[in-house]
Amino acid sequence: MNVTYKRSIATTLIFGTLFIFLIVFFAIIGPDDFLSAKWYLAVTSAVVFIALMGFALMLLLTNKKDNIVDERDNLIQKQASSIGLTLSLIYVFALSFALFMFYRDEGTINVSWAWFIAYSTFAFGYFSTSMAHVYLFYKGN
Amino acid sequence: MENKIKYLRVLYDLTQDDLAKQVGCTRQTINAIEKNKYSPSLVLAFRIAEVLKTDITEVFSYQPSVDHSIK
Repeated sequence: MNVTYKRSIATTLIFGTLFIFLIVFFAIIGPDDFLSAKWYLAVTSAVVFIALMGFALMLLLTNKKDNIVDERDNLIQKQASSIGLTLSLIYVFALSFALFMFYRDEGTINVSWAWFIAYSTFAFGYFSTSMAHVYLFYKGN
Repeated sequence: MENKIKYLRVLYDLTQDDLAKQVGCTRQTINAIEKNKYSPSLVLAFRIAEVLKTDITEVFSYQPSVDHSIK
């Protein structure tokens, strides 16, 4: 197991957990109440901060001088980035369109959805790319 | 594209890890090349041939399934 594979597994776990947390937390509180209490935003900001610190720590711990990243790693990374980008675009399109269909008769939408789309897309982008990397790496061995 | 890396590697008593370190790639890449799951770049192919003390055409061979020649 080389360093890029280990990093992808760690990234999948970190951002997969963050993505699930954002969905569950937002679903429990609901878009209408999400901005009414400041602690909701404080909790989610703290979790996002912890996830980012965990990600930075993981990069720092796996950053060794004898790490070898070769041409096949770079190729897999490119393919994984392409898959991650496509999946992220599909995610944003599907979510935005679903919201449009759901709220079209009301004509307005709660602004907390914008917060959710921003943070969940960020987490989903990292999650889908690293997941694709793990899959491509596993498939190629 | 087929290759004789495994045969030559065993002949020179090298493990996948030894060969990977000498050519500057990962063990997983050598494994993928041996199993014909990955076609290496020309640079890597030349490096592998150099470490195995063999000509590149001896290590790698290509049998086209379709005739690409211009008629």
